[in-house]
Order: sequence, then C-alpha cells, then structure tokens
Amino acid sequence: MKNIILFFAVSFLMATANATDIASAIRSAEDEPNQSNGGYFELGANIEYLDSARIDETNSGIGVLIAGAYYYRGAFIEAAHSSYDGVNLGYNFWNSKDWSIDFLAASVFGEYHQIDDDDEFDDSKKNKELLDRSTLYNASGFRFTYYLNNYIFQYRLVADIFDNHGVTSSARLGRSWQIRNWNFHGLLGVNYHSAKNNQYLWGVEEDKSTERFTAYKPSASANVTSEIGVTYPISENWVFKSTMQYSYLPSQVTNSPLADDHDFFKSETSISYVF
Amino acid sequence: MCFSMRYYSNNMTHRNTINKRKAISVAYFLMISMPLYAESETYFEVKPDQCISLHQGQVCYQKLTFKWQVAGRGQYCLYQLGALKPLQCWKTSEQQAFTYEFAAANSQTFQLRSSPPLVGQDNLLVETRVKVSSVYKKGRKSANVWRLF
Repeated sequence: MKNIILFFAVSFLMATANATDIASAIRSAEDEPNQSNGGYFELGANIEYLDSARIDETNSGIGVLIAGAYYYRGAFIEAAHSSYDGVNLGYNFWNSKDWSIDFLAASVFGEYHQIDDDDEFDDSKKNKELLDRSTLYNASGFRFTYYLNNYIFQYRLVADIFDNHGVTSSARLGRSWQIRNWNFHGLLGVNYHSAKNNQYLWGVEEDKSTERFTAYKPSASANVTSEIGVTYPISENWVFKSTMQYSYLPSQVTNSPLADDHDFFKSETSISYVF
Repeated sequence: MCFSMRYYSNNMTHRNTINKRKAISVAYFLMISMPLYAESETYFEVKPDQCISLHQGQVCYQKLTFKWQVAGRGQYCLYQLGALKPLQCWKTSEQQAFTYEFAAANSQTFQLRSSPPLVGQDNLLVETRVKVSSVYKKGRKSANVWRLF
C-alpha cells in the first residue's frame, strides 16, 4: 500500500506535460502538449464589440488586455486571452505524445456582483438586481485534450462544487492553418449547461420575479459555438490578434425574460506585448 | 638664380602641399563615400537577419536579401549550412545580391564559398546567420514524463 501511495505521489510530482486552454492553444497553433515548465505574460490593448443575449449587454470600446499562463511540474494556472472558460488552476496528471488529461481544481468564469440582502425590494430594485446578477461560476472537474497535427480536440466537464451552480461541459474542435507567418484558426464547439446552471444564469425565482421579469425556470441546454481568427507575430514580443465568436443560443436561454437576443457575437482585435 | 631656384623650390613645395591636401581630401571623400569594406576584403550581409514565428518549433517564413562582394575571379556559391546543393552560384567577383524565400523552424547559417578556393584560403569565404525567434517559447523540457495510469 505504501508503495502504491509512493508511486502516485512520485507520478504527481514528475508529470510535466501540459495541455492548455483550447482558446490559447489553437490561436498559437500548438500541435502537441507543451511538455515544459514555464509560461508567459501578456499585456496589451484591444478593441472589442460584444453583443450578448442578456438585456442591455452590448458593449464596444477600447480596453486593456491581460493574460498569461504558467506551468510547473504539471501544476498550472491559466488566464488565456478571450478564453471560454476563464481562469484555470489545475494539475496535469496524465499525458502521452498526443493526449493530455488535466484536473481543474478551480475554473473561474463570470462576474461577481454584491447582492443587497434587503428583503424589502420594490420592483425597480428587483429588476436592477436581476439584471446585475452575479454570473461568477467557480467549478472543478477534468479536461481532456487531444492533438492531431493541426487539430486540437478538447472535452471539458466541470461542476460548481463551491456554490452549487450546476454542471457545464464542452466539446470543442479547433483547426489551425499557417500561411507564411500568419496563423489562422477555426473553432467549433458544443456547450452543455445543466438546468441548475441555466437557472443560476437565466432563471428568475418566484420570490425575485417582477412585472417585467416574470418567474422562469429553464431546463438543461446545449448549443453550438464557433470562432474564427488570425494571429500574427509582429516581433519577438509583440503579437497581433483578431477573433470573431458567434453562438446561436438555445431556447432555454432565449426564452428567459433576461434575454433579448437569440445569439451571441463578439469581435476583438488586439496588440499585446508578450514576455 | 638662387632666388628663382628658391622660388621654384618653394613653388614645388607649395604644389606638393596642395597635391598632398588634394590627395588627403580625395582619400577622405572616398572614405566617407565608399562602403566600409575595402575592395580586397569580402563583404557579406543578409537582411533581415531574424525571422519571427508565433511559437517555438513552427516554420518561420521570411524573404531574405543577401549582398556580397569578393576579391578575385572565380565561381562563388551561396550555401545554406547542412545542404549539399548551393542556393545559387555566380562566375563573377562583382557585388551581387540574391533574394531567398527562407522557411525554417530553427536558426540557419548561410555561407559564401569559392570554387576553386582562392589562393591561400579555404573555399569558405564568409558566413552569416539568420536567427529564428518565436513569441511563445517552450520552456525547459523535463527528461522524464511519468504517467499516473
């Protein structure tokens, strides 16, 4: 028994290959697990247009881009630029030349908004709380990544074990093309959200409902996501990126009183300094 | 006579001084107007001397321009180190230029060789290096990759 524990302990300490967030991997045209220690930090400026399904959530403007990743002996922290999955803190515990399996200890996505505990809400306050609700999702789970030439497949299954906001899962297939030093990519995926997760993001509880936002209890949903983009190395430290993301949203989302659109669209162009 | 001789002598001295000054001026003019290599020296450069790829190990593409000048007549060839065949050969010693579509994942060395070798020299005249760098670098690889299962 001691030997088995020792074997597992040593295996955990010695594992070194890392798969990465597919958003980052496909944009940098990776073709195998990155079997190394180290990382990068990225700082830049972007111009973005975002049109989400949530009411009044259409934004455009210039912003600051901060991203990075660091891997050490299998342990990693990732904050990929324009990620679908937010910040990941995890550990790579199995890999081969093409495959990689990661344990995601914490996968954090969304925004946190402080909720007023005052029960004496009038409708206008309730409406504001519903529109400004937290979307923070802190989950834990597994990630499988497969590399085949210019293709990357990534399956991800996580559950919110911190606040019980349900399960999400995704299967994404990415393809990269290199034309001289221009790196083009395409990404196609299916996202799954459990009923509990949809309720957290798009549902309206009976006691929180108002005349404008009536009670709504969505079921589980799946939808297709897509992305195309291009990345170009301007110099050893400067990178140009441009991406467009589009998703046609499921009825479980679009039927929500908090939604006013049937799709999600985001375009972003950035220049960043990598070190 | 002496005067005239002295005068002549002075005149010659003056002329010599003027000639020296002219020579120095011409030499100075030539120094600043000519490239920094003498005709007897070999001149070899590549521009740009760096190619940037997105991530380490990826093939990097770059249009390179080689320029050189060598002394002496003979056949000169441009080689990419490691390749058996030359990229290009010329039968002239005048300054030449050559444009090359570079495509490599690692830094490469280019050599200018003469055939036959110049007197008292190897056939390798001079070499230059094109560095391949990448934005996203792979870190230090560990020797062992252990599997849990």
